[in-house]
Amino acid sequence: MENDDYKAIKLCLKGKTEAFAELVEKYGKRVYNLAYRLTSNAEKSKDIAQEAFIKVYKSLDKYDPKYKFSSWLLKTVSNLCIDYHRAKPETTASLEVIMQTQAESSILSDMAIRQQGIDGLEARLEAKELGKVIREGIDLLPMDYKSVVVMRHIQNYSYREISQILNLPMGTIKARIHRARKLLKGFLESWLEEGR
Amino acid sequence: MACEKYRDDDELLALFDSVFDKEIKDSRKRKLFAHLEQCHSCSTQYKLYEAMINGMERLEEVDAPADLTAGVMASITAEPQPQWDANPLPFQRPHSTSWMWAGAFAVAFFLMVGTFVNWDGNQPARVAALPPAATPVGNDVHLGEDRSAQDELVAPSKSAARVAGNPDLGIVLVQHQGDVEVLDLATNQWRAIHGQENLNFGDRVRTGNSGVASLEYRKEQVALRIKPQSTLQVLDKQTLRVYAGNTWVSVKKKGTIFRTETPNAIASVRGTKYSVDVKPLPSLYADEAALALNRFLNPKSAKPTHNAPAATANLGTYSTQLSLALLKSLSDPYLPARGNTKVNVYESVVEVVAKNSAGVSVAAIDVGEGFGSNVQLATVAKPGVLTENDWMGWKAVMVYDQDVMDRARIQANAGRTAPPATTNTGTGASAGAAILPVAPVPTVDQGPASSSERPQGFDDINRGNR
Repeated sequence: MENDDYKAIKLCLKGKTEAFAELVEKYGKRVYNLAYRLTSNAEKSKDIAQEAFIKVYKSLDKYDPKYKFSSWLLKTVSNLCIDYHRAKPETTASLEVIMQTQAESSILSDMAIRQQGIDGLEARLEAKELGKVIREGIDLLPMDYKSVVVMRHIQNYSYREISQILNLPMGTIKARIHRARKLLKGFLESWLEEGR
Repeated sequence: MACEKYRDDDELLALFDSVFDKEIKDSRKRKLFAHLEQCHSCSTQYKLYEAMINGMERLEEVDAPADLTAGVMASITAEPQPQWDANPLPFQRPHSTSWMWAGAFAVAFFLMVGTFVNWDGNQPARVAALPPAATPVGNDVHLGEDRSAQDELVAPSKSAARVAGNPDLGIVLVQHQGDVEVLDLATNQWRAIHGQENLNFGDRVRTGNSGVASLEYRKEQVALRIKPQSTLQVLDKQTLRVYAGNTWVSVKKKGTIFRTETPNAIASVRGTKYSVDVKPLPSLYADEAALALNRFLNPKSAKPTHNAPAATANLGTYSTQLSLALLKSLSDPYLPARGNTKVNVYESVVEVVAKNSAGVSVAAIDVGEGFGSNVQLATVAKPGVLTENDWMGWKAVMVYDQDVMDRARIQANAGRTAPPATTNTGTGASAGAAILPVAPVPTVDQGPASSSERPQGFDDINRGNR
């Protein structure tokens, strides 16, 4: 409950630091998961999760109970992940770049899939590695898209909640989801084509 | 595509999205599925999309490290207790202010320019509202543009004055001349600057008819020279948003990438000099904005206009952008009173000036999140009966035109001039800025305060624009 969060925050502000542990316990998994999906690095995710909590703790007096504590927390995580990606040398091409360079083969793949028929496709999509390929695809998404996809599809937040967390208009979130899905679909098509 | 009905992949995928997001009307869904029954190509696409979305949703969350809580608590207790503010500001939000929160968090650094010789220094020193366009409308980012020797930048001073309340983020207004103001977030009022000032994330600066200023992003060694009649905002350590006017940017440090956003273009540049021009919109846009807004709020009484929105229709870019920006400004909790409201509309910039209960003028300036088009007004349930919640809801209805942004970014990255302001992808008027005549400053003056039944300013907007 968000009210409980506020109570814990007020206790912290009165000097009862241990109240913050409740909040870390409560949101630790969500925070860590977001960081993990956005960085694909377990060790870094732990650092980011920890840093996010500490940052928020230091600014607890700025908390406005009109807003969800979790939104603030996840926004902080998202920002830290963006910083991490900015600081880290680019080792992998983004999905956008990949899809651009594979534009032609994607079209061919698209056509092939269309010709292949549903039955064959279903069999292939049921293969165990689908989840792995989707994870790879999400990893390659640009950060803006990745964060909304993770929040929407893995963490099951509503568009409205994501809009509040990222403090972006809901339409922007929807647009990003749409484009992310489109990129992922293209990625999946390429994978299907490669495996034929 | 093999399908004759859905030649556009985007259209088909958008339909799929609405199915999976459960936002499609039954009738439309039936039609789609009837089509899928018959169309081998589209049904294959649907299967793939469905498998992908289901696959994503099956991805499981991982457990947090067992020692996360212990680690956090150990760090917290090891450090001295934070110096929390005993009296936080009313309405203070977690990170920033209402409009700033939307922005990124920036560090900016300004480099001062040595001289103002060519900067209209003879004009009377008066702080003006954003002025009318004096040149053809449109936004331009001129990459690689070099200026005269008089524009050569001098090395930044290392001793910028620290202004109370603003941390030293390396964003410094190092020099100014004439009417230059900063939006004070604590009071939500524009105030004149005095000497050197540190800027904070999200801070906005504007210059009047005779104002010029120099800004530095010190760490990035980026120098900005703000010309008269400009309004801009520091977004992050690499990004500046220019709402209006002309700003000259010099990126001195090798390898530094600096982004300049205008309402419809983004330029990312590395180690160069360039200028950014954003011209105010003609009154046509203001009129359209008012009509569009009025039509939405009072669907029965408003006169039809060529781009007036239906309750859930896509709108023309500018009218919607301005309308929403205007609403957003009015909904801002920093604006204590919404009566006696005067609204000035510029390109993607809406300035609202109101008087509070003490009779003091309060100004708010904002944009509708910029870059918008293709807006859906679905979040306001009952047109014409807006509640306070609805006002807040308006903040969430802008849709970035990602395609336009991407095109602009690609072109800017390729070193070409960014495209003109023709970003409409919705229905209705697609008034490209470049084709419009130059007109005086659009001003919407709404008269006295409205009744207490609705949010103040609401009636005023309608009355003022019929």
